[in-house]
Amino acid sequence: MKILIVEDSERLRRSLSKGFSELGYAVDAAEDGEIGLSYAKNFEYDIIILDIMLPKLDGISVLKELKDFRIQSNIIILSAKDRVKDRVNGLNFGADDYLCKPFSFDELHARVLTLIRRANSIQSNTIVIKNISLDIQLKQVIFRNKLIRFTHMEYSIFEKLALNSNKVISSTRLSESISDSETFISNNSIEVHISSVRKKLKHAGVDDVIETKRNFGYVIIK
Amino acid sequence: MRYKNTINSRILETSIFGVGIFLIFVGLTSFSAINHYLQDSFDSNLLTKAQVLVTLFEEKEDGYEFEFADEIMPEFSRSKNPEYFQFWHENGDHFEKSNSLFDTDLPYTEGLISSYQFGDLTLPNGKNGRMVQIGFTPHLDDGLIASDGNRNVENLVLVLARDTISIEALIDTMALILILTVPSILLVIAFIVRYAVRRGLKPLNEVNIQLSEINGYDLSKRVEIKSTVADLEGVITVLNQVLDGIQKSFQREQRFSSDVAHELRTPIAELMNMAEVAAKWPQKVNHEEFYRDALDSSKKLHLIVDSLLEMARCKAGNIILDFSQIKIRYHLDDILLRYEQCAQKKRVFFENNIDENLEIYSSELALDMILSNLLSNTVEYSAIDSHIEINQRVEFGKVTLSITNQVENLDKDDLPHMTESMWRKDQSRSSEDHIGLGLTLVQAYCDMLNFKMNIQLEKNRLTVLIIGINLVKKNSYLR
Repeated sequence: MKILIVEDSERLRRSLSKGFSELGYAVDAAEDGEIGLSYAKNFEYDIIILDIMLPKLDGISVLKELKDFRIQSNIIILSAKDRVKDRVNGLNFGADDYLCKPFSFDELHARVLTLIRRANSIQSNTIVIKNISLDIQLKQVIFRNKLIRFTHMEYSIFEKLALNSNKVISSTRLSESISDSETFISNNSIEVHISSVRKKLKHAGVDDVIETKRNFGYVIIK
Repeated sequence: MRYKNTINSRILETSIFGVGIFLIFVGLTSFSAINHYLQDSFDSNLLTKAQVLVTLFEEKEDGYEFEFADEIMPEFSRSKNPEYFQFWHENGDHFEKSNSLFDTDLPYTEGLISSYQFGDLTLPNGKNGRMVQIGFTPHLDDGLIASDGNRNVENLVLVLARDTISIEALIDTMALILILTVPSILLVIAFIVRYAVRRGLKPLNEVNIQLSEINGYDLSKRVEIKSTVADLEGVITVLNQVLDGIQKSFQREQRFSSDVAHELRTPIAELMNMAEVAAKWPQKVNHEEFYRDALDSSKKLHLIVDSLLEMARCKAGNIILDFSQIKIRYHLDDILLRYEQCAQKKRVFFENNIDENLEIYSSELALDMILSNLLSNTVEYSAIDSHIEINQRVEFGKVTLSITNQVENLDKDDLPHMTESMWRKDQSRSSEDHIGLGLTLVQAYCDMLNFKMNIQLEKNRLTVLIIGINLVKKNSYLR
């Protein structure tokens, strides 16, 4: 899961980035509207956390541009403006959620999870594929009540494939979706991580759920 | 129906009450006058008739002769509403009466001989009547006068009575007319007044309806009436001006609250999130960075709260000012030192053109607040590679200080807002060291010291003038 945080307060931006990174998300952060818009147009994000009062380009203008550009990311507005008019305005311009400052990090995370569930049409934080339970909140994979210990990268790859089951995802797309804009993960590295995931699943007694579509990518068939 | 105390009902009530009282007074007065007139006329007729009857009475040698004939005066013998008369001797013996009396007598008052008297009575037919008793001396026959001029003459008394049915009916009719007329007139007046008041108050009702639609959620509406009523033009103009003022004030308050909320919410959000993240992953947080960030957020909160408290103290007049002689040049140099580092970072240079000998008499505390806020602002918002000029002008024993700097992205439209609380040109309000209260505080301190602050913008050169600073009396500039 990849998140973009567009927030002019350096301290808030830093603590949010830290928090979401620790939760296993790939995080990019922008300090003003122009940089934020540039990130959003050039990379694919699952969630964009957007402040309204931003230098250079305000959040509402960024939102309009994103909608004009048909960006599919879910957008949460994070603002100190708490009047009903502001909230309605933000939602009417296409935001998927609106959270007023000050806010709890846990609440923001819960809202992020809600949007992920909505985007992937799932009812709860747990996805079950061939008896494998994947908890997107706790970031853990369980098979027959046994925890399968994945590394951060392995989990991210498995989660991306699980959330997009029955869809073939290329190595490049997998790489982009699990790393921030400053980190590059090669296709070979993705192959190594996939191989590791398969081994751990096999070790736990799971049949190989990840199929390789040569020259296209990988897919989990439900 | 619940009674409503309205202008309409007040005018209606007052009109009805006033006109009602007037009509009742006029009615009663008129009724009384007409009643008296009718009574007097009736009595006068009765007396005249009595006098006519008296002329028909003549004393002859062989006694009295009454030349009366029922044919000439049938009213004294008719059966329906007859009239009555009766003659008495002075001693109370009667000797002549009308046929209508049959065997009854009219009342007789003894002692009334040379005058007349009216009275009410019940007639023999049982009806109410009125009588006149008149004393008279009968005419003497011509022969009798000639024969005995010194004859002892006897006075006689006539009582004449007739019923008062006609006059009573007339008076009753008149009373009935009055009783019916007063409420009818009042009713008509009520309709007329009601219509007139409604028509007259229609523009006022329009104003009332339009005013009722104005509320705290929407102050943009103004009062407009279709019909031009001269009386209301002034009121509506003033009302709309007041609404303009309220709307502007409300918008200022809303913006101030929103700006304060924003200024406070962001550092609180920073502290909350930093603390939450640090509590969740204590081993993975850079503690040095965390403490520094927490300190910076706290400092920001401290700055906001301090500035707001200072502002509140200024507005409440809770600041005590001590006045003293100040060498302003040295004082300014001290303040400039505080901002030198920030200025150097932006390659902004100060040009302090204040005379070393210029001495003013003012509050050092207030002056420090004014100058430090102004200089802090000028350093923050000056263009890179520019300079800040500080000049003086002395006129009529007063000093004007001017601080000029080169600015970017400032329009003349921004000038009126610059002293508003929490106003910032940068809508994102991202500056850490300024919250938009500096010039508001400068204005508040200027007001306390009776200085005038003037802000001018010419070709990106912003000049703030502080006008009206008192010179020390022994100052060389006064010589």
